[in-house]
Amino acid sequence: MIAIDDNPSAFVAHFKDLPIPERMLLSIEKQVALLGRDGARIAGILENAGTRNGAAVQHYYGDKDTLIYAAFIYRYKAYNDWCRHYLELLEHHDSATPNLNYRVLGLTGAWAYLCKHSLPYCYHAGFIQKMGLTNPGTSGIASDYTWNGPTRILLDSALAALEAVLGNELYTKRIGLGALHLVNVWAAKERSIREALSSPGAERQTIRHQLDHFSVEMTETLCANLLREKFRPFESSPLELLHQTDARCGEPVWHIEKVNQ
Amino acid sequence: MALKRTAHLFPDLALKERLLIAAERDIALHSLPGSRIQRVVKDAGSANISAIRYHYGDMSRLQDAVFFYRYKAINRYADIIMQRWSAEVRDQMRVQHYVFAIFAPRCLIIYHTLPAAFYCACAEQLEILKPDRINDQDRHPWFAPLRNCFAGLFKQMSDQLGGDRALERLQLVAPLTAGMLTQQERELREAFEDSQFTRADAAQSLTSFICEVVESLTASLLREHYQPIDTDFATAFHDMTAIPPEWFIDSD
Repeated sequence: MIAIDDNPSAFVAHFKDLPIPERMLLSIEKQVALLGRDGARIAGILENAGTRNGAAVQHYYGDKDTLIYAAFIYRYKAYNDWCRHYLELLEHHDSATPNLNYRVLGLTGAWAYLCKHSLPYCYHAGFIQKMGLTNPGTSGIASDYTWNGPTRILLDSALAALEAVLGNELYTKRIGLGALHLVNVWAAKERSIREALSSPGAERQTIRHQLDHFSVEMTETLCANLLREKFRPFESSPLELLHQTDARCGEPVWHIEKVNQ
Repeated sequence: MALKRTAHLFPDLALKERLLIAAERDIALHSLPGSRIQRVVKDAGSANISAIRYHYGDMSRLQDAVFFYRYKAINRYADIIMQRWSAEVRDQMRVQHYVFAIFAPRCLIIYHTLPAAFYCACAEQLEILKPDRINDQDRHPWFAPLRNCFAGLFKQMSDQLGGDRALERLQLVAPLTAGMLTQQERELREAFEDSQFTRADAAQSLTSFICEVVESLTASLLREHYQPIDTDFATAFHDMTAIPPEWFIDSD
């Protein structure tokens, strides 16, 4: 067992200044990531949210499914914000590297951003994995929100770039194979980060740098998986672009649904 | 149509073995933290949860036994494949040959367990949660073939990429692979709910799946060094489907 996963009181202490509804979102995200939808129990959700009020879920969110949906939306706005800044920077970015690499990098860089800003309690990818929301961009479940859009633009343009290289037949054959499981790679990385942060002496700054490197690695893994002999690596390091986007984005603005208070 | 209970699918097996099959299925469908002893016992066809204590001691011993249950068959398949390669390709071994030797056995497990194919989903739950199990496997003499395949794969990759990058890429690609196998297993399970779908259809689907997996994983691992090869993996896989699996029931 990873120490920080198995310590509800430290989790509660970490978020003690946040209002109860937000703590409940963080709590369900963690519980679903660790235990799955079936395994996440109301008692555990309340314990990690630091409340003994058994009716809290119902009071604030109505039911468990609504709470799960709200936990997805909570992170997804920040994901979109990052993608929006990335797209703006990408427009002015000159590169000989294939289009697909940079599109995929946007989608992985946004995840790294969420991860960096939720250390050490990074559970978002695990949550998405366990909920079967393969890729946030494909779900479309956030389409009612005015802030939703940049992720879809990035994803659609990545798919278009891929189809342009492969042709329709190969595109259809390959897109359902490896790409769908990228979230598993994120979830495994999150887990190893939490493991690293459970041991003394782990530097968060080092982990943030590792995450940028990991985004690039993950991008090349996926692009090679899809393109095979047509794959070309980044010609120059794209890390600067990730740093610029992080800087423009600043601290994330998490989205909390209006709840009954 | 929902899949029948384990007790109904395998009435001729001993309860001890049915408990392994039922536990594999429960972990696959509900994840490790979500699995429940009562459900496992009921699915295996026993009225009484002390059956687990009697046959396996406790839940964690049962989980170990579930992990090993299919592992002997996987190793034997890996061994047969490596023998084939050493006769056919000799010193021309490429990354693709090792990837095939590691993943084709899992596809063969899917093939031989359909429609109750839950191995890949269960292994995804167990292996990711317990990476230390790899040491535990040493106590069984039949484990060597798969370990040799991984060593061979790592050496091939290291020669081209250097050891550090080879390791980094293997760790990156492993969770991707687990997801691909689990998805294929689930799709075939669902396809079997349609009575028109035959075992021959499943063999065909798995053959094209393993051919795709071999090339796409090799491309992910080698990236800029990747080159397709013309080994006939489809025939190799098809030949293997005729060999029945040997399961392992732990009795210590």
